Amino acid sequence: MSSSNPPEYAPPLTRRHFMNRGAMGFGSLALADLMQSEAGATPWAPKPTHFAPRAKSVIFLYMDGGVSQVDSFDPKPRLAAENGQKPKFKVDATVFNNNGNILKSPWEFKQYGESGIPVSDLFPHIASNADDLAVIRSMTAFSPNHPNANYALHSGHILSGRPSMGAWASYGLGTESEDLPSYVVIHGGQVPSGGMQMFGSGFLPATHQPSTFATGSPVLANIIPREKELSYQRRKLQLLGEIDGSLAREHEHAGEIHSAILNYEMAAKMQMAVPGVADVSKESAATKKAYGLEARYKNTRIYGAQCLMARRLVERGVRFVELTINPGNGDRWDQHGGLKDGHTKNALAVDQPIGALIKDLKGRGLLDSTLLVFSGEFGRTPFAQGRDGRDHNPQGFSLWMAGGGIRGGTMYGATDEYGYRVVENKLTVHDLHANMLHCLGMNHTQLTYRYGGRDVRLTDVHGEIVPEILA
Amino acid sequence: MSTASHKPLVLLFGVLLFPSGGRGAESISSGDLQFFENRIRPLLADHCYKCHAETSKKIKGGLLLDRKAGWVRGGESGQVVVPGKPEESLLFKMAERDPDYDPMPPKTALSSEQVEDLREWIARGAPDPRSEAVGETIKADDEFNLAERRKWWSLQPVAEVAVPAVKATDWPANEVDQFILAELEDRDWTPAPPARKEHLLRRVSLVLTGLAPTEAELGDFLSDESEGAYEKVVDRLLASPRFGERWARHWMDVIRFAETKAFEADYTMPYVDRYRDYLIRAFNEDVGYDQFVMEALAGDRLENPRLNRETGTNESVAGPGFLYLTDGQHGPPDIHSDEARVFESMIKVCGVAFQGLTINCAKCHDHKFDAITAADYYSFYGMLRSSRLHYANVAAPKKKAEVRERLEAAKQDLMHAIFEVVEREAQQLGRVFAVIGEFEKGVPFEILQQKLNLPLKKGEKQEARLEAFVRECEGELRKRAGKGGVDADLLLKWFRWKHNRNPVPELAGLKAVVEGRAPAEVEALAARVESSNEKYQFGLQPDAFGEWIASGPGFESASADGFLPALSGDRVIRASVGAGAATGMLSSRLDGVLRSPDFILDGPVELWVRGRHAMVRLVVRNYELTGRGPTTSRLRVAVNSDTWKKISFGTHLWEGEPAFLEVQHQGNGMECLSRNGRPPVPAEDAWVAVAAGRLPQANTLWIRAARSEDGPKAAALTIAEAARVARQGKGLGAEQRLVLGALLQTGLMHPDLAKFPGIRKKVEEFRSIAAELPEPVYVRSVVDGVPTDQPVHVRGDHKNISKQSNPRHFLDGLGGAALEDGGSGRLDWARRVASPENPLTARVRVNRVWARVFGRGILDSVDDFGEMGGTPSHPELLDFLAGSFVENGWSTKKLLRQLVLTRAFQMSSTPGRGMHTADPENLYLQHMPLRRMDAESIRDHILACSGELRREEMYGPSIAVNIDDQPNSRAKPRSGPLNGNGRRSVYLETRRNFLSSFLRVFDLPNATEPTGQRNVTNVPAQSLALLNDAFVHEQAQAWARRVMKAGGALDEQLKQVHRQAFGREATEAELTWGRKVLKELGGASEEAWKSLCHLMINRKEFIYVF
Repeated sequence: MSSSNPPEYAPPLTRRHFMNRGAMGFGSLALADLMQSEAGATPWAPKPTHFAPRAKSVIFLYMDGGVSQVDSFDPKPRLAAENGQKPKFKVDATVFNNNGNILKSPWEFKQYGESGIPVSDLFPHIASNADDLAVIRSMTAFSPNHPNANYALHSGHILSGRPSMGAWASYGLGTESEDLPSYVVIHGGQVPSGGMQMFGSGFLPATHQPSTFATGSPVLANIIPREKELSYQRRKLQLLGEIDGSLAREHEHAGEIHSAILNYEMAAKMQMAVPGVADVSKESAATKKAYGLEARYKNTRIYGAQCLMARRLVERGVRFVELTINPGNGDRWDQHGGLKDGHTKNALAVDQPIGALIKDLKGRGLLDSTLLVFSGEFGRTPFAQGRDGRDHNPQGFSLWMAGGGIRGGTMYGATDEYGYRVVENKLTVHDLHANMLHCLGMNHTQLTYRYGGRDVRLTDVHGEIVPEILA
Repeated sequence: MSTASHKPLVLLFGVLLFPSGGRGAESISSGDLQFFENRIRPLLADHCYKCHAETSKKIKGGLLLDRKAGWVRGGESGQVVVPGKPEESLLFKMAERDPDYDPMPPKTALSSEQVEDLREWIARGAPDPRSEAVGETIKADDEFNLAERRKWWSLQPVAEVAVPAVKATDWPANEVDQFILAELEDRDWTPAPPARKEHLLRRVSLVLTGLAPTEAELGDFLSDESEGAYEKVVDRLLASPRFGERWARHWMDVIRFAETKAFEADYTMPYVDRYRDYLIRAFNEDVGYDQFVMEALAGDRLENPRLNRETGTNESVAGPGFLYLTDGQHGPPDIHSDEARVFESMIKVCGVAFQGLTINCAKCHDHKFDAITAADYYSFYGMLRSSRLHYANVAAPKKKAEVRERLEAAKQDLMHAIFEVVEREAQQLGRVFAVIGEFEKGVPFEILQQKLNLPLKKGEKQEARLEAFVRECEGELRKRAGKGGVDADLLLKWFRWKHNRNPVPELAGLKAVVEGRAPAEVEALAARVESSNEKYQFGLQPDAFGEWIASGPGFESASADGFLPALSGDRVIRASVGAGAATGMLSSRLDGVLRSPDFILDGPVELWVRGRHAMVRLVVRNYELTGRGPTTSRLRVAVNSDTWKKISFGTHLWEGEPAFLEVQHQGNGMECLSRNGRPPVPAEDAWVAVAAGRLPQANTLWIRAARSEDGPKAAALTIAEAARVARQGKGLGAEQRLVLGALLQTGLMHPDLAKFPGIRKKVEEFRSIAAELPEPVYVRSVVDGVPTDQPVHVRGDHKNISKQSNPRHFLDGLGGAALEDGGSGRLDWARRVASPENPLTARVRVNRVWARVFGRGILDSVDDFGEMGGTPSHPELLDFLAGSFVENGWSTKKLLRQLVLTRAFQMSSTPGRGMHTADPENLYLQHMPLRRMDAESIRDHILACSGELRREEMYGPSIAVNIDDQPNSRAKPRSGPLNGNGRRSVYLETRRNFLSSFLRVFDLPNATEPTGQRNVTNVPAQSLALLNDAFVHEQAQAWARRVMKAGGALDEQLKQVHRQAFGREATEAELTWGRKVLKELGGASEEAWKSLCHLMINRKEFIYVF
């Protein structure tokens, strides 16, 4: 690896005091202090930002499949006026090429809050936080295909195998938590099109792979000891520490071995911390109710648990949390047919929990330090696919951001009068990423990693800061 | 290609070509001037100058709009304004936001009034009073000076270097050591002392085979005190089949090996495991690296392919199998951009793997740092356009050719005998028809016939009714046959045929004649012949393939033979072709693929096909996944019909794209499969025939007969004549062939094998020779299609293709010679890579090998020998090694032997005093680096310890990975066994979307990017995996049982465990520790032993190598 990258591979040895402890007892050494006192020695240690950050953590609410902009945050009365007519504009090739006539939105829009942001009846709970949202209505995607657009949304690149934004955030910032990973994907149950690798660390060190939490048990792979009794495992770890301790003493020069020993310390802590942080049962009844944990619809309960878990993670200093949506009867947001039924069910699953999450974060004073992003990989066509569906539309869609660094109550950018193509303030995922990093105190042009002969960025050679949406 | 010829690509925009000023304002009418000043200048200033004016922070796209000369000259995308023609002006199309163009201004659209103003301005002839010259304000962002770039060290010839002298002359074991030691002595450093014997054995075993030594190997080495003990070990390891498994895996990293296509469905690619096996054999046989390179890039085109010594199969053809191991998606809306994406992966891999160059970085511009032009990138693209994915049958070519010769002779002999019989029977046929005619004039016949033609009852079959009818007539017919002197069986056959409602199409005319129909009726039958679009004939004729390209030995034109032998049963012939090209005329095992030349799609594509287990694909832009997904599923048609069918591909989605047709015998195995699919076993009765345009019809023969006085008699003579010509073996017309084929196929004129033992013998002989043909073995490969150049995509945009031609050439940084191999150019490209004159090939290879042996490359960045890769730590050593590598016949094993026998490799991994600060990265190798095992070695070693490793078992289909721990999805396949059946990790399936989490956590690459050097991370997830993973626990249990079963004294058991885990004897302290562990964790119970074994796996020494 080139020397321009941080030394994450083999932390240099300066831990003589550690060596002198003799046999190490797991859990008995304050190794976290040790690790933090040697900034840079561990890959998880928090790293300095480029400038004062507005947000410390990100919760990315990934709307897998592509929410329809004209049915959510981008009202277009003209669709109702021309409902059922042939589109009067040039229509691009779509994935299924089964393009029909203009399809009006089945939902009404209302204006919310002081800002008067219009939101459809799909999202009343989110809308009740309108003055916290910056709604961007001029997003574009790089591809009309799920996998490519998913890869692009996550990594800025339509190819698979590139590091995701979460991995970049972890790489750039480390974590403030002592016993939790820096980057967590809370998985609802359905693998998005393109596979789990879209969340991956690509060519960044595997340190920045996401830990994939589930809402069921086990919450994280290999987090549950297989020993019948925890005390039995603890004894094993102590015996392991004894013998590894003598190896470490024998090979005083071998930083890799010491780091590996430290990893067991961290692993042991994670074993304790992760199930705890994932356990939402001790939350108050009111909180659980607000998040929809008692909702009738199963997917609301699952997503509610994901949102609540996300809050608990950012509370503990986890840097980047991403939520996937759970498999509905409506198959994520990808309504090629049955728009009304599918979008209704998906909104039912996510709206209440997200609304509650925003309020809860606010109530705890965490919203100022947490950046929320709600986005799919692209939008949907204003004309029908078949009778009652919408095909993919990369030419224009909506997302919103809220929380740390974001100017609430903002609307930015516009699509044409059909909601088909962006006509004002076009943004790409590079711009989204640049602004997300900006909120985290990172200059996106300076967050680089040397790979394949160049200093690679999340934003490639693009990305612009949008002052209008920033606080 | 000369340097100068594509320099203009770069400098095009940097030179003043156009007059400016001079004819300024005075040539513009005042109306135009006003229009410009009021409408256009403010528009340009407000919306364009930010990026397209001299004052812009960065001038985008090389375009200036702050002066007339700017737009006159255009930008990187070429001309932007065509005065008078707004619709042809890029500036207008972009401003108008035509979806086919990049929108400008990029963020916010102009108002419709402004767009109209632009239109009018251009329509007026783009009057523009601004007279500033372009001047020298614009320069290409980064000057690309090829001559300068070529001076980079890695592009200089490999130097002949002198081996440096050293002071400690007794230290070096060979020249390599002298280079190392000289550097150390220069710095007054002393090399580390020799490593412990046990450490050395474990180190060298892992480097060469990826496996830790067994107890027996340890014992042998420790007890061998001879001087050559270590050398013996090295030779044993190099000769071990485990060597190939290890070194193939390294190469698999470099070529981003995977067995599935990722994306949404993660389709399985067939036969990828055979490419893996090819690599393992190649490394075990120590195929010279130059040969290896030739095979990788052009193994399909080698005149003398390398044959497998045991099986005789063609090894070389499998070489290019890695090219199409790209990812892939179904239903790409823009198939051109999909091609560009897929090819980029191939170009990237080839650049990195063979030349250590990031050729892919020159996709949008000439390379930012290196001597690589965009023309180089698109030259390679052109080679890929000129090549096509191919599943090659590698079954022993020599054997096939030898058997084929005998088979042809046997068939000729057989057909001669058959037609003799047919001719003889045909001579009776006139009388047969006459007897039947007489019989049918009788009264009882009419009654019977009425019964035959009554409507069918429910459940009643026409065939059964016909049989009953024939039986009722049989007695009388036999009587009459006897009287008439004709063969009664023959007569009955023809009688039955005459009353069958569905005669085969070739004989429809004959039936009309025999029924005594008027000539006009027979002619009407002939007129109803369908014909297909002749556009896709491409010269395919009954006697020639025209421009079609046949791969494999199977395809022959129908006129060469046309009769398909049945390989079992009482039939001799099962079908006939008649026209076009076909396989199967000797055997299904002589197979092939026939591909059309490239053409541009502009309407439906039609073809005639018939056959079994075959397939036709319309391949648009080399798109691999036809048959999958919503839009491309109909680009693939299965062929399973003995009669001609017309297929027609709708192409409205792909208009204007280049495409070719592909006709595959053995079609069903040749496609990407679903998640749990496996390639089917080749069918023994596969064949396919293809024709275009008007098909030959037998009807003219029957029309002629119908017009003669006695139609049936004339028809009989026609048949006899055809049989005579066929018997003589040449001059058979297409129609005659069709008729004979149909007669044989239906059995109407088929010799009864029971009556002709001579023919039966010939049939059997033919079949037994055919059985000697080796069964097909398919591998992934490529073949050349139509040689095609690819002009540069301006700024990497496939919608903006340069008008300047770009002949295929070798890398400009290495001379840029034209590729002259008469085909795609791959062969010539390969020759230029595999040449000792190439400054990169040997350097890149020895550096990769060095890095595997010593932990880091002499040049650290093993995949990048360009400017960003930096310079080597020991440049002379690198050249010395490259030179001796070539001298040693590019032998990887000799190179490795040279490296592991150095004193340097045998050093201890404990650094000398002060070395941590003096040389923290150990650049100069004062000691050997401490290393962590890679993912596969860790897993393999766990299996070895537990006793479950089946180390001798090689090759074959991959073992499904256990993915119980991975979330569900539509592409999720069946999960595999936890222990992977005890197979080495190299045999585990590599599904891009479902890689083994256990291997991934220890840095298995993601199988998408070429990876010459893996990350080596050190993270808690690894601790969690070793602590809690189900596989580890299962193996700990197995290991415990193994130890308990072996029995013996406690200390001996503990020693054994340590030997197995660490390849050394346990210390006293470790024995004490072991006893303590057992005591504290449950006595000598299985649980305690399992815990002990589990702890052994978790001890750091398990995965670290000293």
